[in-house]
Amino acid sequence: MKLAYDFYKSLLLVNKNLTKELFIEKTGAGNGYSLDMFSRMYDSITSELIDVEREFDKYYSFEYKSIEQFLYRKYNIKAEHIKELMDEKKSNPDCIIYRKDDNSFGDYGIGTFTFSETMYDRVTNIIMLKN
Amino acid sequence: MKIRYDFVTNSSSTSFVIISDGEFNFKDFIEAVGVKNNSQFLDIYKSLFNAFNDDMEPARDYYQRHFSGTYPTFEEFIEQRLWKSGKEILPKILEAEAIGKKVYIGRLRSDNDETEGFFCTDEFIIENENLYVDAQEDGW
Repeated sequence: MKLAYDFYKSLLLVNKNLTKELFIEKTGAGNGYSLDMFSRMYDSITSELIDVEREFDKYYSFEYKSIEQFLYRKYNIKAEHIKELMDEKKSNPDCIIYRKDDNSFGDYGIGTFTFSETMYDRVTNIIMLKN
Repeated sequence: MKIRYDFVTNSSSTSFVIISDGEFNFKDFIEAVGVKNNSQFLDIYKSLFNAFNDDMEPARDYYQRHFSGTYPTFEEFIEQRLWKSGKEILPKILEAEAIGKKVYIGRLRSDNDETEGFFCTDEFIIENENLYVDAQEDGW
């Protein structure tokens, strides 16, 4: 799951057991251009991820009562989006909430295509290790 | 005087060169791309194959039809029009023609659909022993 907030920033649910090898295996990329393309896709997704749950526990848990309140007040995430995110996390307990700058990877094209309408469901299922 | 207002969109089209030993076909293409036959993303590369197939023309016909008025020779067209890889690919084209391989040129467009849009602005080479696709001329 990817949730956009602010300007070109996103919250992302990623399974803690995901590795680059596993991601590549699940895409079916073997070698050549497909391997290069999906390698860049993984690097783009995982570039400069910040673990929001750790951030909350370590730096903000004395200030906010819950991670929901932290997301609402610190990052101005809408209440319904927080609910959606937390429900999704509850159904996928191995996933961690990350935040990231959408343009941190430096290759705008691959980042945009990764979460395009064509790719979104398939890519989010893989990074959450749903199947 | 014309003043543009509201959103200004930006589209792009970039050239590709295909050198194929025999007809350009999906089986060779997928092998060269390196994606497995059971991949859930096979459709992405099918779209790319179709985009190539829909637009490609035999290289010398393409030159005659579109650029013979701009560049005096086919060789100059390749070297100068393909600004990124022209010098590198010209010997490959001439060698391929000499041994009877097929050479095609065409364009990918960013405003056809989002998949073609991505490939249009990505920089890549697809190759195996039967096929060489140069799409290094990326850009907006």
